[in-house]
Amino acid sequence: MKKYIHIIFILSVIVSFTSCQSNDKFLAEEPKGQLFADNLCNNEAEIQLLINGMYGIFDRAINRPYESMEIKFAASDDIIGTGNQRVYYHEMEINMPITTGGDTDVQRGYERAYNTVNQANTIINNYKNATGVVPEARLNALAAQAHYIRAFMYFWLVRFFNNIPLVTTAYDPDSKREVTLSSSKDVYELIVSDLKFAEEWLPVKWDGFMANGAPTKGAAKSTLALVYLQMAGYPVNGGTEYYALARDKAKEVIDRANEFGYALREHFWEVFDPYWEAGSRELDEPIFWIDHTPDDYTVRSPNPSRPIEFGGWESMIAELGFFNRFPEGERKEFTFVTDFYHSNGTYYHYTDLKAKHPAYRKLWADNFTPGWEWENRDDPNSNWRTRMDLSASWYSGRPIIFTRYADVLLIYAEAKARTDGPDALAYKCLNDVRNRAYKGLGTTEASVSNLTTEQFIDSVVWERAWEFAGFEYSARWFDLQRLQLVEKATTEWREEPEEKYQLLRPYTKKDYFLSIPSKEVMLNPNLANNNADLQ
Amino acid sequence: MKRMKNKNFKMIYWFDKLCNSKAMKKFTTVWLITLLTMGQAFAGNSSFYTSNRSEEKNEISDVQQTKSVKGRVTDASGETIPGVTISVKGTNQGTTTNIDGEYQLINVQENAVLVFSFVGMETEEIPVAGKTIINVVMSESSIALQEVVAIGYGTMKKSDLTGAVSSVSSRDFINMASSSSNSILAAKAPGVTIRKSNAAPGVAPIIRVRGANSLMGSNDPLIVVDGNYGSLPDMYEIESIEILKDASATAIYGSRGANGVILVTTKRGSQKKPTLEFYSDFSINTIGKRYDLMDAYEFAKFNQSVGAYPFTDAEVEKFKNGGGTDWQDAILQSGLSQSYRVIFSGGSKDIRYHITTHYNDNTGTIRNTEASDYGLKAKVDMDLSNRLTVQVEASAGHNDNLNPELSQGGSKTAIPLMAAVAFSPTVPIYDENGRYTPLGVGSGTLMNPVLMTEAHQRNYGNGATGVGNLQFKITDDLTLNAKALISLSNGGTREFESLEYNRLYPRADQYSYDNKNWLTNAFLTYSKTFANNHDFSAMVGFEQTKYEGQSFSASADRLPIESVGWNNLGLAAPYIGVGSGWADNALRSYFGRINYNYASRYYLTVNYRADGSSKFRGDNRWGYFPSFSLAWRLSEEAFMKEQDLFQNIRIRGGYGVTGSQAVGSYATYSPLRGMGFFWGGSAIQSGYISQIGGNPNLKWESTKQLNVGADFTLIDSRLSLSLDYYNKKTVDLLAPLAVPAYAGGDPEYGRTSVISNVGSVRNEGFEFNLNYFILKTKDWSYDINLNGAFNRNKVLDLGEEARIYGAGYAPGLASTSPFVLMPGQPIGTIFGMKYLGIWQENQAEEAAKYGAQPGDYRYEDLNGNNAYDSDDQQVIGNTNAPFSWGFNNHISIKNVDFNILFEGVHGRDIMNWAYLVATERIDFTQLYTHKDSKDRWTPSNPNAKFARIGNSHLIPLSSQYVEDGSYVKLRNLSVGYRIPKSVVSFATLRLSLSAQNLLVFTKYKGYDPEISSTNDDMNSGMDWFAYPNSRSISFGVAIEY
Repeated sequence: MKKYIHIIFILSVIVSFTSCQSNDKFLAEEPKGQLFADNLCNNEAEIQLLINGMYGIFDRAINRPYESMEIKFAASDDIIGTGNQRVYYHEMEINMPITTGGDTDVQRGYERAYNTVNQANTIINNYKNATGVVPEARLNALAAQAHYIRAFMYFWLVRFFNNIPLVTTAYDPDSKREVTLSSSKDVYELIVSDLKFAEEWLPVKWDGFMANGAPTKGAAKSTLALVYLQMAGYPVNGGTEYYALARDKAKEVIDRANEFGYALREHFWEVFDPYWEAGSRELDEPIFWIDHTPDDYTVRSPNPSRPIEFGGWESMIAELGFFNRFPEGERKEFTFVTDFYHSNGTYYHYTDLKAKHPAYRKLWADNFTPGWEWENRDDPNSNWRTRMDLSASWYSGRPIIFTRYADVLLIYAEAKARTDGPDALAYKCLNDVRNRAYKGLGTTEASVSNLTTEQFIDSVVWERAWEFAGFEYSARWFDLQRLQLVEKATTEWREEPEEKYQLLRPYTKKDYFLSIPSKEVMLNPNLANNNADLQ
Repeated sequence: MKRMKNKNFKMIYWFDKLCNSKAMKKFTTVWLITLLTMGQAFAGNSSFYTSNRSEEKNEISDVQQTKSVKGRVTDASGETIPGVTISVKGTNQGTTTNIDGEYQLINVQENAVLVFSFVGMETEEIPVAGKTIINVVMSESSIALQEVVAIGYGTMKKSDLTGAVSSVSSRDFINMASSSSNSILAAKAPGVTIRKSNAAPGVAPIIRVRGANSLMGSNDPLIVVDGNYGSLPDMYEIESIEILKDASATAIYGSRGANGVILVTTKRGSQKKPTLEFYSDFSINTIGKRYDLMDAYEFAKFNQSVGAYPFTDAEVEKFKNGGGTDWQDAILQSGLSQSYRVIFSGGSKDIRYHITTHYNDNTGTIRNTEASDYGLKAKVDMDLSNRLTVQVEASAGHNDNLNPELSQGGSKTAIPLMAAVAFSPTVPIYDENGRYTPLGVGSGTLMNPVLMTEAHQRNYGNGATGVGNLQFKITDDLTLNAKALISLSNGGTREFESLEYNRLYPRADQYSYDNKNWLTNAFLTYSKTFANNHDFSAMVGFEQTKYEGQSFSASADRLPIESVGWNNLGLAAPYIGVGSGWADNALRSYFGRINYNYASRYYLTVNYRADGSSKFRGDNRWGYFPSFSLAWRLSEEAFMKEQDLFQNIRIRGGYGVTGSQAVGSYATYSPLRGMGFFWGGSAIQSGYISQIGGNPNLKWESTKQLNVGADFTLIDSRLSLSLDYYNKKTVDLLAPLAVPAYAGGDPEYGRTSVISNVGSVRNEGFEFNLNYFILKTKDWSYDINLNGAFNRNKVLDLGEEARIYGAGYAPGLASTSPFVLMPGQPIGTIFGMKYLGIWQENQAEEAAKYGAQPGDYRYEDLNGNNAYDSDDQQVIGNTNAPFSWGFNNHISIKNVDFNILFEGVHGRDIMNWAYLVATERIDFTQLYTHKDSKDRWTPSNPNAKFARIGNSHLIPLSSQYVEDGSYVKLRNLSVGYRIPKSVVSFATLRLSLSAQNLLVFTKYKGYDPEISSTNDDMNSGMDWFAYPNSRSISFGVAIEY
């Protein structure tokens, strides 16, 4: 009897300790709350989650101080690091003595750009899951954003690196696919086809929150015009055929400017209004932009440019010749700061600074803090006249504009001139930008007329330099690149003393582009010497 | 269960494969040769093994028939022995001796037999036979053959062990400050290394048993406390520690055993009147070494003279008469630690209890770092019948840690030590308005080091655990053990950044987690001796455990009112954020063991365990872990009885497989990552980005280990020596394979690698452990322990990968990790350029080929292409020490005892980028701060330490910054004094004074050669301003009423 009780006891203990669940059930994983790309995209809300994420990473790829590649590539004339602390950022990744660090910052820009491409790929590869749930036009419009961003990012990458890996599918851990370099021509092909999809399906205007910055039909056409312009020049050398494409695409935008809602703002400084709200003007200059919270950490902020006396790094400043040649007027006054007021009462003219250099006002103190309004700059009690050292450092609250109407006007003017000579519209495009820069839209004092085609083209190219000087998406550097003016800009146009540059050797075509970051080459040796054919 | 049956064929197949494997054949051959050699060496020698036990029994008869027994336990020299376990044979009744070696047992049956056991002593069995006072003299037995030690899911006589097991007894650490509880194993056992790579308050040291096998996450050994998985308990609670090192010992833990197992047996209640013990100690901790930095004047003058910063002459002169800031002084301080413990214990015949409480507080050597914790643990043991015992344990505790992030490397904006070394000394801590000077000169994005320590982050944790154990003797030979455990923990992080710290908005956030873990197991043990000589025991068991965790976070990104801190996050609306998360995992196991020995001469142990983990999918889910081992006690053979040199000789060997899950929950999935986007307006729209990471094909990583060892006891049992050789090979290595950026690798907004099973790693080593009683008189004794271990780690194979890179460091210094895995090299290999010194003037022509000038740094150009590129990288260091040793001395003179413990670690290299920051201009520190940096190359100073000013090449990832991190430390020096009863009669009182890390012998230039900025083995030798170990002086008091 006693034994019997024991056995019951043992059995009951074992049964109570051995869960009745089967092994498969007990060991099943439950990743509750996690989302997965391949089962998402079933409806608009799910696609929108991925679109929001894509813009989030896009913003980081192109705006963050350490991640935007342009800051490391300031070998242009509008931006060059000749200040006292120029090695703060590895801005001179090419052709300058670099003591430490190699290409770690370029690596970040490269990583972030490809991460953005991968997000776009995720949407492009999965959005069709919602076919039948979301109407076709709407679905394509959603997907067209991914095509636009992928094109924008590849355009960014191809201009910095030239030959790069071209990836259009989402990552698969099982795939042993060998990735090699694609020529810039192939990359441009994808960019053009993405933008064509985008211009077909993107709406003229978005509703709701996406009205504040999502790419539109006009943005796709404007970007495509710039892509054609770039392709016409070096290194694709598409020539007249592409200038014609750029001309026609820019013309389309100009012709439909009222429909798209584009016009120049009256004064240059208004373009950088930190208080601007999308949709507040019926016709406006920004074409593609990202709104920013005031505490966004961005490369378009005071720190890179302001002098060390004011807590900055003065690593991103204009070449002196560039500053001296810059035409006088409202635009110059807004673009540069030459008079500096410290909160300890000291005043410096830029020639009194340790760096003896003006700074870019375009980047300075544009946070939302009241008291930094441009209109108050002459008030003796304004922050501009009393405490410039206390402005924001790495932060900016103004919307970051990637493409604006002035760009389209100047693309048309240049492309038109290069195909069949400037016409009245081309002159109007150029003169509107020039006059606005001098005294404001509607004035005529800065107009030019009756130039030879050569002269006209030359003034458009310089106009682009002045208009987009500083951190407006490296427009000047990409112009020097496509027009093969880098050699000239780094020699005869320079007024800075030679010892400030310490060039290792004269610039060559090899210096037009960056090498694929060394870490990436180690991970995939196929990517070595991505510009081996350039000398 | 159906699934298991189908797997049986697979198991049989596996065994078959194992027995026919090359390694097995090799092992068997080695085993036979060893046996034959040993056999011949001692053949013909027939002196008997003689015990040197001597007994002395003082009997005082008691006319009254009391059942209470008391007495005193001493050793042969008359010294009392505290902590001796006295049990009443055949019952669960028992007690331990107090600090004066006294014990008392009540309600003892007159015909009972008392068993006295103690580590290192022969166990004594003494019949009570009506006596009330039984004083016992125990004799040493350094092999302690009768001692019962814990093994996985059971206990075993030490003499029957067939695996590689090291023991650490409480006498090795009892005089150390309890704040060093975590380091009690340091230098105590061969092959067990304890390294404190980050000495911030509240950070546990890293324990490694026989090197690192695994790359993913933990190589931490499994710690089992009284049968429960956990962490090392408070040292006053520890009765004994066994460290299971080889697979034959650890395989019973299957997938958890690959990194060794530390079994801790804690003190329990015993039958005695209620006793109160009180322990307190107090330590002062200081950083022993500092970088020799320039003062403000020297700094301004030098940096001006070399053009590093345009100081004006007036600015330089200003500092001629002092002024400026010593930033190391500003952030370093003397840390204080204090700890208190109160222990109650006692019990009656059927119910025994042991209750411990503790409180610790430790302020760090870096300003504003602190950790504290307190808790209570109660253990109650109940005999429901003479067959059924139930044990209940409950514990609860709380811990709090201030600013743990300050100690960690990574972000250059949050390492105060780095800022202290790199920040300009010309800047005052506070400006004229009494606010922190925000920026230095020429120090880029670095923050004022003192302001950096103003971060306010509090990590806290609460834990509660309940355990029920049941032991049921079904028959005399068959026992059932069952356990149920539930463990709850919650905690989190609270953070606040003031406007001054953040410089934009005051912000605050909270993160909390709430985890639940439960475990049940049950096992049956059968043991019986047949025909006197055949000892047989078998065990079968089952275990399952499940973890569930939830987390919640909320942040206020712009607090309108600073003073609310993290207590009113909603105040910041709409600039607030929330998040939550969930994770689970489960493990189910079946295991069994057979032990057999013939006449205490020939031993066999076989273990088997099958583990199923939720972390793997489909057919990869189950792992099977067999092992077996053999031992031969040569000294028990008839032909050995003649000799009297050896008192014991045992030869043992084993082979087994253990595993590692090595990955976290959901490693086979690639979930999306949250990434919101601000579309204007006031709120961020939520969004998700895809990221790489999941690999659905993951499977168990397994480690196959061969161990051969021998134990000797000689010179009248005064000297004992153990030798072990092991060879372990980890296959299906779980390794992170780096993914290029174009495929989604992104260290900041995603992941850089995908885990895969690739390749294998081998650890091969030799260990020795020697104990010797040098001197033993009535008043004096001196004994030493010397242990050492050689370990050679080698990556054998990485599949298709030529190299796998470790974690990246210090963005701006190198784009790849300094640490790589590559076949033929150990884990922890440093890979970079070989530094060849400085180009001299007569080498100008050669230098020019590299775009360099005389005075620039020169590196080895392996491929001869006149450029320093990735093809020129080579092995320049190894961060894992191949040899380490410990030398432990115990000396006692009457009531005073001394402990002197040295530890040596040799052959370890460290990448010292901290020194680089102090001596060169790099992106975020544009100025020279270290005095050494003044020694620059000029044509007239060709033997300078550093390149010319304006040097065109500086490759941080070069052997120039690889330093020898070998060291010898005087780990512990302590003196304990037991106040004689004649002085203090009401209680037992003991005082101790100890010093940790009093002496450090090293060539290393940094603060401390022991530290590393990361904990994982692949990246274990980076000095990126990790929190250094301090030198501490402690004073302790122990009182027992």
